[in-house]
Amino acid sequence: MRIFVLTCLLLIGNFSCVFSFIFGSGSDAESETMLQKAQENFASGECAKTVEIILALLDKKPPSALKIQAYKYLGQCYERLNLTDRALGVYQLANTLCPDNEVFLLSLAKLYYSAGFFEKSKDLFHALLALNPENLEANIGLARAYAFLGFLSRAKEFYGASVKLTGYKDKSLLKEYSLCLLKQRDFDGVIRQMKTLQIMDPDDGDIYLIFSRAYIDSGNYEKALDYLTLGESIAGDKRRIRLSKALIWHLLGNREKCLAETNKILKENPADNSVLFVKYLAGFEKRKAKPEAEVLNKILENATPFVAEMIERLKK
Amino acid sequence: MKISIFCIFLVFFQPLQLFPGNADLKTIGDIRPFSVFFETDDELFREVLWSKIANSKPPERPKIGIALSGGGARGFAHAGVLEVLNYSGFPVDFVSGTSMGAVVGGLYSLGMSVEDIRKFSKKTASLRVSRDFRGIKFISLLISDKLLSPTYITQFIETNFGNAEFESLKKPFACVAMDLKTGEKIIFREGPVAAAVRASVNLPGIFAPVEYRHRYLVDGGVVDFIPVDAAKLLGAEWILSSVTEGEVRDIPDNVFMALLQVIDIRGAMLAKAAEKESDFIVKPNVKDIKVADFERCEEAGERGIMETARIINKAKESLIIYWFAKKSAEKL
Repeated sequence: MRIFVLTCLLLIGNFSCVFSFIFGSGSDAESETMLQKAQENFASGECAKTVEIILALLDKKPPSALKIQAYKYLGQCYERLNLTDRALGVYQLANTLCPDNEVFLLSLAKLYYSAGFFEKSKDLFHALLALNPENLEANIGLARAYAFLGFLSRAKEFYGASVKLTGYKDKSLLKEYSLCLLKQRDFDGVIRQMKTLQIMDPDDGDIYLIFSRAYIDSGNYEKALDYLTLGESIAGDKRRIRLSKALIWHLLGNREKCLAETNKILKENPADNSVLFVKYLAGFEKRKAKPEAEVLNKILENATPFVAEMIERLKK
Repeated sequence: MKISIFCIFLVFFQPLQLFPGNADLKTIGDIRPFSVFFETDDELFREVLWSKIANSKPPERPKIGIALSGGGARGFAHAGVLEVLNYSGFPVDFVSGTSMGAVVGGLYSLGMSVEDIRKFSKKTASLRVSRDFRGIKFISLLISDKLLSPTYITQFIETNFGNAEFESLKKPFACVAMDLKTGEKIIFREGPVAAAVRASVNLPGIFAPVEYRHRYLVDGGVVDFIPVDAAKLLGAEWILSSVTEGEVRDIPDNVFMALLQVIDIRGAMLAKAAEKESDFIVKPNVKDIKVADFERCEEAGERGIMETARIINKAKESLIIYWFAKKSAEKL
């Protein structure tokens, strides 16, 4: 009797999955047919119809094996329909029923992540890694969640694990890892990674831009300019690269080259306020007959917020 | 019996994935924490101009001071603040601290890395610092008619600061205490660092005053919760204050907690005035952590990281704009 009571107490903690295993036995033919229909609709992208069928199926209190599958499709449909709150509700319920189910853990983690709940997502990614330390999506998710929260050293750890899991072959991931290192001012680390990527794909313009950022952040402006020029030759949209070069030439005191870069942009858009501001900083605008405040007010009209703040301070 | 054995079998050997399904391995959307290049003109201006500040020394850029407030266990949030400032390349020329801010600021000025300072927060339970607070019994104070001596805090300070003098620190540092006899604010900028820091964290009314050069010194938090003045005295032109004030929540259930709460309230009142003197303020969300909650130091540090990471771009912009105001645009 004591053993029986003890066993019952032990079972309470694992009631859900064990109960379903013992009592959700056998298949309910009608429920299976409905689930199959839902799967077909899901596969052909008919999410609204899938939801309808699943909700009707759940009303029939199907066996647990089918219920879990139903929740999976329901959650994914709600996601596709951008009904995030409902998807969250479904995954939370499913996760409660089966806390070690990686599908629900991952779906819930990704939803929280996408909705900006990085602390919640990180806990779930950790739970996934506890089940399987080599879960690539969980490693990447955790790295990103930590990065968003500001824990750069932890982000670095999980980015490191992620690139290792991909055999250092995933270029996008290597770039992301490098950018994490950049945020930690590990410029040597960034350069090392970029040199590796450069061998893998010398025509990838992103590599030169990341190089340039490492050199900008470390104050090596000449090298930054070299890589910006390389990046510019490959990039589609050259404007911001040129704007960076203009500002850097100004910081280096080379007014001629600063002007050359600003003119390239102004040729396409003479009213580009950010470029006009750089020209002002470099002293070109002050040579005109207009009073300084008038020049600045003109630039201020459509300036971006931080540029506007700088202009307001300059006017004082 | 057979059913029991079967159930025990299920409990311990249940398969973890009864209904595995297919894990949908699509990527985690397009929400990435980093971008390859500047995504906005504002980001471009901020980061390029920031690189000038981060890689230069005064007088090419303003002299920057960090003022760290008191707050007891909450004060470990400053370690998180310093970590994010460090990663962002924030130049720090001067450091000032009150109470726990003096401990963290002192360690930082000594040259200890922010990672090592944060490691302290992880082991504060084992450092037994909280025992100095938990061991306080009001009855024994009345009977002995003497104030207590905080054994573990003293040990911690002496072990880490040793014989270091202010003049030998890697960064100029100042910390604040109060002379119990005169009510004067005392700003330490010279002499043995350990004695100064020990005075700065010395809770009045509970721990015996620190006797130093004919003064009887207690926690600076009762006269200067955020030591902005001390940072200015060191020479700072632009000051970022890290403020870890508390929030009154519970009715204290003993005299000791009541005294701590009074000190906390006083600190919050002083903070209001000092904040106006700061150029930028970081306020980690640690209001729910009590002064003596040393088991939550690691949590305080993490909250310091999160809040500072959230506002670091604003801090950079604030300093850049100050820099603009200081120099004419042509001289940048």
